[in-house]
Order: sequence, then structure tokens, then C-alpha cells
Amino acid sequence: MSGLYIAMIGAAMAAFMAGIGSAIGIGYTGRAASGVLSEAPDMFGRLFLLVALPGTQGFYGFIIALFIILKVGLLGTPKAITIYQGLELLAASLPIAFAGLLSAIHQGKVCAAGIDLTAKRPDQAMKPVIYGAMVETYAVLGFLTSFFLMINIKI
Amino acid sequence: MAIVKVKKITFIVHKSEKDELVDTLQEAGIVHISDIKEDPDFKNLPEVKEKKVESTNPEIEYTLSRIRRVIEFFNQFDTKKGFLETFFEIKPEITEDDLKTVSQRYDYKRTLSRVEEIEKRLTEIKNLEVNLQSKIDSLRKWYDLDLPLEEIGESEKVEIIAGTVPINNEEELKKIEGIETSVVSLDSRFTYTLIVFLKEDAARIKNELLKIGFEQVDFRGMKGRPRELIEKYKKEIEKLEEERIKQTEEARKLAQEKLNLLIVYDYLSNINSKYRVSGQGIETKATFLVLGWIKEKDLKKVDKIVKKFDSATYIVADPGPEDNPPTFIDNKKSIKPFELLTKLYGLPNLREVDPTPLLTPFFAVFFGLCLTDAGYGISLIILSLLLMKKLGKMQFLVVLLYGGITSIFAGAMTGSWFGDLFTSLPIPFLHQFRNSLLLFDPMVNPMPFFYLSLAFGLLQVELGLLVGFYKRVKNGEFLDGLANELSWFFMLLFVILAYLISSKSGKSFGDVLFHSGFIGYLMAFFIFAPIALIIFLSGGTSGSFIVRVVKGLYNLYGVTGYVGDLLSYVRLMALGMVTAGIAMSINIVAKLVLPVPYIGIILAILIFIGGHLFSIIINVMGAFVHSLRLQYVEFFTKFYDNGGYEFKPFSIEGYYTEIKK
Repeated sequence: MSGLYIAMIGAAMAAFMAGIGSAIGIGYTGRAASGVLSEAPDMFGRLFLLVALPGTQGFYGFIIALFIILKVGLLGTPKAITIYQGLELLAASLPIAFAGLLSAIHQGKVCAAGIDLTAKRPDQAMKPVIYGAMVETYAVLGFLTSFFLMINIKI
Repeated sequence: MAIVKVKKITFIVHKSEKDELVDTLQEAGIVHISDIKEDPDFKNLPEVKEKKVESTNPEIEYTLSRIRRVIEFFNQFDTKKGFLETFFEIKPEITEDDLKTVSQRYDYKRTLSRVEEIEKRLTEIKNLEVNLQSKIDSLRKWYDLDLPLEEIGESEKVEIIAGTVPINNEEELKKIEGIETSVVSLDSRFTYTLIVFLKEDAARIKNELLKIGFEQVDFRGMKGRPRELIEKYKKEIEKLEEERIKQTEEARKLAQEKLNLLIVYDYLSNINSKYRVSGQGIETKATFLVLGWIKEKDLKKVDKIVKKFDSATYIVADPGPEDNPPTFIDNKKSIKPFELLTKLYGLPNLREVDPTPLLTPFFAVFFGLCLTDAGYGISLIILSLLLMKKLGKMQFLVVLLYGGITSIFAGAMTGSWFGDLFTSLPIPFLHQFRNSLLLFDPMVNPMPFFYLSLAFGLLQVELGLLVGFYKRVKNGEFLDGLANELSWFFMLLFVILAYLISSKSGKSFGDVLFHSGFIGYLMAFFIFAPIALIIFLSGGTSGSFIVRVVKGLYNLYGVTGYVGDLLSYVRLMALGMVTAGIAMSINIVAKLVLPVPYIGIILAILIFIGGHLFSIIINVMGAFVHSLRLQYVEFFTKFYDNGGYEFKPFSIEGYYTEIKK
């Protein structure tokens, strides 16, 4: 049974590390956007995407956590998990945990810079979003790696 | 492909008819005026070099800036903005006639000066209030002082001073000789004390007071007892407050005229742009000359314009090699909304291809794959139709509508209806319905989704390379196109083809190419010939052979870039899985609260609706951004250099309003 604990650590890490990253990332963008809004309250809609963009990592982490939780049957009757299976699930959670944590923070910085750009040139709102999406690529790759690792673990 | 041909047009008219010509051009709204100073044919003429024309009218500019200020001031009285208006700009609609009639009838100058007065007075009131309030605050500690403040100070023999002493130093205060003290009040840090002494001792006592941290308070200019003064100041503040309310009320009433001001602003700014256009032309001794760009199909209308004038004539010319004409892209109605995405990146110049028709199908399909939920697709269609009804047929909403349609297909294909709703509900019909449309279930077997994403990636990258080749040929760079785009096109295609055959048949990669007869050799040719072309030809024509080959080898290293590009399309699958995951978790939570007695079902429904609405917003956002990124970063880099600017005909335009003809 003890493998279950290790699997739970994996699920928890995927959710909380990616979540921390997104929280810090939106922390940057939210502050930058509030600063802009104090001067130009009409920009709310235009800045929305840039503020929300670093939030996706938290979801990627959450989804992996959810898949692990479903896989070990925590929402119903827990399955018997060996220590090795538990370790495998923990390993599967790591890509999104770390890629999510760090990419969200850096995406937050990129998007905050994008918010400054949009404040000065409101017609350019979409270009910094693309830069933000470039950082996001690596969170997506982390998610995919976690997903493929996890889906192939036999329980 | 759908870049509209433009021609350079130069109007010449007798000086006396200059204003009419500008008027007529603005009304016609078909010519994009460009500055004669920047035109390659004219800019070197001495007259043009020396020309000094006021490009705007300072008086109108000033009025415009006043109106802008007043409109900003009025914005605080706006009735609460709707949720939609924070995301979309909604302009009031007016007609061209309104523009003139309202501006002539409405006495905007009176409104402007009245509002400016009010604004000025409101600032004054605010400053006065702050001032009074700080006086009250400073007097509060002296409330119990029963002495008119004007008596503090020097008289014939004695001097009275008021001030604060740090509470720890009170003992030392008592030690000072020759003073009478009276403590008016105290708080945790200071005693507020009145001190009386003989004038002849003043210098010594003041010095000693300084040592124990005494700070004198200055009541100069105040008359009466503190408690009377506080009352007086409070009354003054009340009066100011009343006036503030009155002034604000008047401003609020005036703010009802805001629409009129918006119209006047647009009227004046259209007049101002006529000055700007006149400034972009040039006056000679007898004539006025202005030039610009016109769509080929609008040339017919020009005769009509010119006929109105006694002296006008025009010259039409094709854009020369030094010219930089504006770009107007025109596509079929069905894909017109996607021009929005092209414009976001930057318009093509005349030597480019309009990428809109190329990106449209990809964007729509990618959006659908990223969202991959039939339920969300249906919701998105309903949402965008509702928004269209409120906001008009905005291009952005039409793009979302298309995305909703493709999402339904993608969702039905992968069996995703609000996540796993149809399989988690105990209704057999829904199961059957879902399964009858199901192609593969990515939750069970994700690999088909993975390959599908890569296949779309290969398709788009290859198409991009072909278009790039076409563009090179069109611009007379056949060899460059052959050595770069076309070589990569064949190499990627046949490497992947050979790999697929080898993995299907179990033969090694080499065996597929060299031991499978003619077809194998053909494939080998299309792999190795492009490699040779890239190495020996893509390095350009300048420099020595060695340098070119080194350059070519470096270009061959670009294969890592293509691998990266293809893998980038896997995000389609990842985002599809994320949608399914979030939707599933909402369903799970909704199910978990179901057993709560009595309110369980209501809670479950609330969580279901709220959760999925949130999930739609989050995932639509992701789908939009990532589909767009694939167009810009993976697709456009193969063939597209933006470098154009928008064709904006000189016409009657609304800044604050939407002007209907």
C-alpha cells in the first residue's frame, strides 16, 4: 500500500508547484496591469489576456494531479499501489511540476513587459501575447511529457 | 493573393479650388493621401524641399484638446458600464447629417467653458477642504484651551508660547526656572502645554526648552478660542461640501450633453484632417497639387470628381520601384473575418502574398482541436451569436463562431461533450449517441491525437514552404527557392514517408531506400538531392566556394528547426487534453456535492454551469492564443515578411462615434 503515499506526493507536487508558478506569474501581470489601469481604466479588456496567460500552468499541473488521483482510485476505493508504481507516478509528475513552476514565473515577467508595451501602444496588444505563448511552449511540453509518462504506467 | 492593386494618383487643381478639391476627396473617401515630401518623384524638387505648409489648424487642435478633457471629465458620470463594454469598445451610431447639424446647432463653446469653470472650482474646493481639515486636526489637541489664540505671543512684559513637550521630559520642564506652565491636553507621546514667562528671560528659557525637545506651535493668523475655531472651520467645510454637491450636480446635468460633444469632436477632427491633407500637398504659383493611392477599381469614380471642377486634372501611374504603396487586402466574405489575424501580425507589402486564405482553414481547425469539446463548441456558437446581436458582426466574433463549429467536430470525434458528461450520466441514449460519433477516445488511447497533431503540422509547414517557393519564383529568385524552400519541402516529405514505410514494414530505414527497387531509389533521390542542393546552392552566390559550402552546411543544420516546428504542433493535442481534464474535474466536483441533502442538486447544477462557463473562457483563450502562435511562428516564418501598411482612404471618420452614410 505504501506506494500510494508516494503517488500522492507526485499529485500534490504537480498541482502545487505549477500552481505556485502561476500565482507568482499572475502576481507580476496583475500588478503591472493595475498600474496601467490607474491611468487608463478603459484598458481592462485589452490587458485581460496578458494578465491571465501565466495562469494556464496551474491548470496543467492540476490536470496531471487529477489524472494521478483518478489512476490510483483516490476518489473511490484506493487501489493497491506498489512502491515502484508510486515512484513511477512521482516521476511522471515532475516535468509539469518544474516546467510549470519556472515557465509561469518567466511568462509572468514577459507578459508584464507586454502590459507596459500595450499601455504605451494599445494597438500592439496582440504581439506581446505571442511572446508569452512562446514561453508557454515549454509548459506545454512539460505537460505532454508528464501525460505520456503517466498514461503508460500500468496499475 | 488577394492584395488589391493600387495606383498612384496625382490631382492638380487651380489654387482657388483647393479647398473644394479636398472637401470632395474627403467625401468620396477613396484616396489614401500620402505626403508629397516623401514621394520619390517629387521630393527632390526645390519647391517641395522648401515647402512650409501649416499641416493643422492650431485653433481647432486646441478646441479638440479641450473637448477631449471635458469628455474625460464627463466619463465619471457615465452610468455603470456593462460587462461587455469593458472588453469591447461600443461607439454610438450617428449619420453624416448629424455631424453637421448637431455641430452647428449645439453651443459647445458655452458648455466647454462652463465645465472648465466647474472643474476648476471643484479642484479649489478640494484644496480648501484639505487645508481646513488640517487646521482642525492641529487645533483638536488645544480644544480645552480657554484663551483666544490671538493672545498667544508677546505682550508688553510677558510672552506666552504654546507647544508640545515629549511626555518623558515633563519633569525637566518643571525644573526650568521662571516659567508658568499649563497642560492643555496630553496623549501617549506629548503634552500640549502653554508656557508663560517674562520677556527678559526669553532667550535663556527658549534655549532650555529647546534642549528638552519643546516644539512651538504656530497659531499666527487665528483668532478666537480653539473650540470656536473648530466649529467655524467645520461650518465652512459644510458650506464647501454643499457647493461641491451643487457644482457636481450641474456637471452631471451637463454630462447629458456628452453625445453632442462627441459629435462635435468628430466634426472638428474631420475638418482638422482636411488641413492635414492640404499640408501634405503643395501649392505652386497657380496650382495646388496633392497625391495619393487609389484602388484600381475606384479609378472610374475619379472622373466624376474631377468633372465638378473647372481646372482640375489628374495623373495615374503604376507604383515604381522606389514607391512604397499602402496595402489593401480583400478576401471573399467567408474568410474576410480572418483578415483580422493577418492585420495583427502586420500587412503584406505589394511583393508579398496575402496569407489570409491560407491561414483561415488551419486556424479554424487548430482552434477546434485545441478546444476539442462538442459541448463547448455549441456553447461558444451560442455565446458568439448572442454577442453579435448586441455588438454587431465583429470580425473577432465571427472567428470565434468558426472555431465553435470546428470544436463540435473535434469534440464529437473524440467523444468529449462537456468533458465526460455523456458517459458519466446514467442515460444509455447519451452513451450510444457519443459512441456512434466517436473516432477515438484520447483518454484511453491518446496516440491517434498525437499523430493527428503532427500530421496537421507537417501539412502546414509543407504548405508554407511551397508558398515560399512560389513567392521566390514570382520575384525572380528561382534558384534560391529551389535550394531552400523546395529542397526542404521534398526532403521533409520523403524522410517522413520512408520512416513511415520502415516502421510499418519492419524494414530498416536504409533497406527501405536502397533495397526496395525503383520506388526506394526514387525516395532516396528526393532525400539526397535536396541535401546536396542545400549544401552547395543555399549559401548564396557571393563569396568563395568554401564559404558558400560552410554556409550551406550551416543551413542544413536548420533541420533541428524543422523538427522543433513539427513538435510544436503537439500543443494542439496538449490543449485538447487540458480542456477534457478541466471539464472532467468540474463534472467530478459537481457529482461529489450531489449527496448533500436537499440542496445537493442545486449546488451540483450551479457548479456545473459556473464551472463550465469558466472553463470555456480559459480554454477559448488558450485555443485562440496557441492557434494564432502556430500561424505566426511556425507558418508565417516559411514565406511571409510583413512590411506593408494599411490603405486608409482620406474620408469622413469617427473617433468617438460610428458614422453611417
